[in-house]
Amino acid sequence: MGTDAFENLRLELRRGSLILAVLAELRQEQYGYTLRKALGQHGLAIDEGTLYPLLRRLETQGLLQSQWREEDKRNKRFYQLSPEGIQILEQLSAEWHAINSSLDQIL
Amino acid sequence: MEILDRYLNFIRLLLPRAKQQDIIAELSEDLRGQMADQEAELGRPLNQAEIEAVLKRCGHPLMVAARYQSQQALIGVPFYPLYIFALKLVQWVLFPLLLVVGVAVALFRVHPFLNMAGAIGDAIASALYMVGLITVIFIVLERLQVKLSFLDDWKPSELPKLPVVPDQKLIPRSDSIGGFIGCAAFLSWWTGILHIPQTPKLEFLNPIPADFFWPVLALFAAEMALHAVNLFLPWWTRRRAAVRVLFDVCALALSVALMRVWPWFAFTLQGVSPDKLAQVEQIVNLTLYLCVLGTGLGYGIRLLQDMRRALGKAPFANPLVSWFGGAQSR
Repeated sequence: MGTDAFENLRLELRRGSLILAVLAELRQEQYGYTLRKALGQHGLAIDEGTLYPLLRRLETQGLLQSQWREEDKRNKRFYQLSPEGIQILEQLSAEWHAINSSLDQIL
Repeated sequence: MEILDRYLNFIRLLLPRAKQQDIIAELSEDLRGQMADQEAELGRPLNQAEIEAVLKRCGHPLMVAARYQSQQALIGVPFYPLYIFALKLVQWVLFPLLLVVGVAVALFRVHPFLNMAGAIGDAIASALYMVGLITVIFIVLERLQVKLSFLDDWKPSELPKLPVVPDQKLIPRSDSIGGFIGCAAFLSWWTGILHIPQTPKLEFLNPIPADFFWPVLALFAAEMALHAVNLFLPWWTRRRAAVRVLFDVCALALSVALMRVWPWFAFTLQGVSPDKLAQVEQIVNLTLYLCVLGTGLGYGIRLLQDMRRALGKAPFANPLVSWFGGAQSR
């Protein structure tokens, strides 16, 4: 029960942070698999079933732009922040730092 | 890669047609990338178990496809509390109303038992239809993303003044519904509307004196009315408790008066010896006497509880006492 509660809260805590991490990683153009690997290397592993729907949502919201391109003889979809996404990322980063410093004081 | 294709095809079937190609191509690219990386690491092609492990980690096709759906909940946050409120209205207002009206109408029909069963069935079916209709309406509202302006445009000072009812004053609705149905059933038997089939050879020689007919009828009709009021205003007020004190006193007096004219029944039963008949009479009369005694005791305890409520005090918390005197909290 305690483990379940922890797992649910952990997932909830991660959800918002992952969006910020994805946006930050996509300041440079990347395709899904390399993005997943990059996030995993930073300790923010994300499964494909979560990442791709998230990328789609962010693209629908106009924060990302994407294009299909061939690389290494395989068709891949490359994502990058849109101009609006860059602005939002800046705002979210400021918000994140504010929350972080508040939490540091509280914790 | 037959397993991979099978996996992707399963997901494809569950996706919106317009997005199928795009999503599957992207997912396929990711999974193939993972497998290629593993193969490079191992220096050999992946076997079936290793491919399955990659797919299992990705998730069941149903779960993967579900994450791509734009609507994740049938009824979302702004509508859900309203939906639950509408269902509660069906549960506590519409269904009891249909039940009471249906049963009351059935009692005056030629075959009350049959009609009553039909009325109960109709009430349940109507309530279920209403639940279905309400659900469909809310799903449509959710799909259309209807904006509920009153959730943004409201004033705390305009909220309705609802009474603050302490737990000990709440009347469980199940008590009111059960009480109402019980009184209705008893009254319909008492007045002869509901005819209980009797053994053909059994005959009552000494029925309960006719003097009791109207007082019992009046008492149970009044109890029924009180249960109906309690159903819609489910909390004790001092005035309502005082009214029930009056009922309790009448019921106690009737129980005592009834016990004073005991024994109540004598039988003639063809083909049974007088000794046996006397034994049956004794058993029946004694059992009924104990029933009336128990009822009288119950009314005595209820009187005690109702007097405390009428005086503005909390009723006794003892579970046995509160069972007889009406449960004191939900």
